[in-house]
Formats: sequence, C-alpha cells, structure tokens
Amino acid sequence: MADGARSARRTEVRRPVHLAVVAGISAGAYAVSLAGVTALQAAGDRQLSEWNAPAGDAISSISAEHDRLDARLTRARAAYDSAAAAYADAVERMAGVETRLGGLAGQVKKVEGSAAWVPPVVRLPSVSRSAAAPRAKPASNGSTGASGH
Amino acid sequence: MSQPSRQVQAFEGRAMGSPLRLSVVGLAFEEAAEAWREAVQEFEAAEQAMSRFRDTSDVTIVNRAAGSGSCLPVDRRLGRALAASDRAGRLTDGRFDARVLGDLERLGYAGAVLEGPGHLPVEPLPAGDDRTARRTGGEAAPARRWLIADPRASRVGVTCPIDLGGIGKGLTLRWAWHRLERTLGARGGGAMLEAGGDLVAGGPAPQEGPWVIAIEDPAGGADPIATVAVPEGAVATSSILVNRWTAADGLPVHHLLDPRTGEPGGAGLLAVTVAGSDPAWSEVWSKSLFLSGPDGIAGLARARGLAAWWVRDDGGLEMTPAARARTTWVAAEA
Repeated sequence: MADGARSARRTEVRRPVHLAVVAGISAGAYAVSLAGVTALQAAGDRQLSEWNAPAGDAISSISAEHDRLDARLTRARAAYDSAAAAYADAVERMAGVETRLGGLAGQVKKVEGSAAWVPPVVRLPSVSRSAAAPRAKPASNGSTGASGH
Repeated sequence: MSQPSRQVQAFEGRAMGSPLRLSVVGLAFEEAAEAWREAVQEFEAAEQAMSRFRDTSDVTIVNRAAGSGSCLPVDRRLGRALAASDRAGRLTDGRFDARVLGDLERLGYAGAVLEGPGHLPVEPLPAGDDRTARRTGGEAAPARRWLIADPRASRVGVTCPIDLGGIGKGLTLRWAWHRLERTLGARGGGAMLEAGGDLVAGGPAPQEGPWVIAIEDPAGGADPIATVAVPEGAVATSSILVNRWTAADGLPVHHLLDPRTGEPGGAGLLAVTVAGSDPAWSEVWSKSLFLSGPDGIAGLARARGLAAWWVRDDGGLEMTPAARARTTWVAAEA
C-alpha cells in the first residue's frame, strides 16, 4: 500500500508540462505566421485587382461597343433591304422604259421609211427682190482682221 | 447709222509688233491720256514678260532653260499666261498648243535666238506624246505635261520651248482693259482698245447704241465684209492675210500651225472672227476654229455656242446663229 502511494507521487512529478508549453508556443507561432501570410496574400490580391481594373473597364467598353455595332448592323441590314427593294423597283421601271424604247424605235423606223420618199432637194418658186436700194455700209468704230500673231 | 455724237479721244502707238489704238469716249483729254498711259504700261510689261521676239523677255529666258527641269522666277503675267495656255490646250482638244514653237522655227518663223548657255535644242516629240499619236493617225494619248509651275513663288519651267503668240496678246488686252475699267468706270466713260486686229470695247460708244466693229476683208479688199455690234466685250480674228512666207522647201506657209500635224492648218479658210466676253478666249477660239477647217468649223462653233464668222477661200462668208444676231451689215447681202 505504501509502495503504491510512492509510485503515484513519482508519476505525478513526471507530467510533461514543458511539452504543453512547446505545443502552445508552436501553435502561437503558426498562427502568427499564418496571419502574416494571409495579410501578404490579401495585399497581393488587392494590387492584382487594381491592376486588372482597366482591363475590366476595357472589357465593359468593348461590350458596349459591340452592342452599338450590333444596332448599326441591324440598321444597315434594314437599309440594304430597302435599297434592294428600290433596285428591284428600278429594274421593273427599266424594263418598262426598254419596252417603250422598243416602240419608239419602231416609230423611228417608220419615219425613216417615210423620209426616204422625201426628195433631197425641194425647188421653191423664185421670189423677185423688191428692195428699193441696198443697205449702206454703217460707220464703224474699229476693225478686226489680220494680226501679227 | 447715226454719226458720232460724243467726243472721242484717240491715241495710237505700237506694241507687240502691231498697231495699238485706244479710243476713249466721254472723258476729258487729260483723263483719256492717263488711260492711254495705263494701257501702254500694261502692254510694255506684258511684252517684256511674254514676247519671244525679245532677247531679255521672261519667256525667252524660260525657253532657253526648257527641258532642264529648272523653275525660274518670272513676272506673274507669264505664269498666268502659261497656265491659260495649258488650259486652252485641254479645252480645244489640242487645237491650241503653245509648244508649236519648234515647228514655227522649223518653218522659218523665228524669234529671239534660243541657243546659249543652258539651252537644250528643240528635239522631235517623243513617242507617246499626244501630238505624235495624232500625226501618225493613232489614238490620242493623255497630254504630256509641259508646264512646271510654282504659282506661290511665281516660278515656272517648261519641258520644251513655247510660243504664247495670240493668247499673249489677248491676255494683255484683258489686263490692260481691267486697268482701263478702273479709270473709265468711275467716270462713266467708254473705250475701245485695239491691238493688231483684236480688240475689246465697252461703255458708251461714240454714237448711240453699241460699238460697231468692221470685219476686214481677209482677201485684202479695202472694204469690210461685215459689221458687228459689240455692246461690251472682245472681238478677235485669226487670218492668214499676214505672216505668210515661203518655207525652205519652197512651199508657201502661214503662221497658224495645227499642233496636231505641225504644219499650217485650216486649208480652205482665209479668216475666222470670234466675238466673246474675253479677248484671250476669243483669240484662242478664233485660232482653234480656223484649224478645224471649213468642214469642221460650223459644228465646233455651234457646239460651243460661239459667235463666229468665217471666210472660205472662195470668198464666202458664213456665221453661226449667235454671230448672225450680232451682225448689223453684210457686204454680200447689201
């Protein structure tokens, strides 16, 4: 019984308190280093975000430009459709003009045929002059004629 | 026609190898004399700039440097005349061309001697030149540029010697008239300035109505063949009555050369008169119409809406509708 009591006191004396202290210190050091690394990473992320901000703006701008371009393409497509319709209309009109020209050509051919019957020279009856006297030459202020050049 | 009812001051001299006359209406003698001095000064300055018969004229100096590629400082009149000649060549489809000097000298119508330091001799037209193409009956190529100009610096150069001839006189009449207008216009006067067959008139005439101009007989007769009314504007005539000579080969030639052939043109015509608003362009068209010959002149004149009279070598006078409207008397119809 006495031996058992002594043995218990020895065991109590040998408890590893230092291990607990070491473990606590290690955990504290780990926590501190982890906090430092986290802070550094946060700073790096913030810097990277700042650097990427212009690219983001550019991407936004490109997106807006794309939308505008899309709207313009839509308008251009509408204008093209309108021009195509006008062209088709003009083609129809041209066909009408060609038809009328064909008719006109036929009429011209008829006129030419009639003209062939017209004599090349038409003899008009002679008219006797009844002027009393020839007009006199008017006085002139200057003259134009042969020059040195 | 009524007799002269207004006082006329008349002055006469010589310029550009031709008689120079000024008739002034409605001005005192001193004012008319001042107008005459203005005209003479303009002709003297223009002759110094554009006459190829003067050794020291700007155009002679430019001709001596022709082909060298250099641009020389010249009187602004010469620069404007060269630009007008270039344009006239284009508008008349090559009937007017200042580059006929080589052909004129070949035929014996020489001016100032061009040989000297820096002068390059007149050479035959290179293949591809528009005139060469027409001579050979080929398709006309685009006209080769012959004028090098820096208008801001008033410097010009030419690729071959040139002759301003009639257009130079027409331009001088235009410039002199502009100076006269400043004197006459302010005083309400009228005037007629004549230079060797070309003239410009405006303002009140000596009699009531417009100025009356007689078209001389190109066959040399003493009486005119027609008279025309000119309220305001110019009249120019291209005729072969003068400046005819015998070439070295013994053939008779005259000074109205066709740039497309290099030979005297307008066979079948004796003279062409054109009335218009500007003396220089009247001169250009009178020569161009002459070179169109008796078969082509009517079509060209009517197409251009010109008031033109022409005399065939058989003595017949013809005119365009615009000319008929201006004609007041025709000898053949009297």
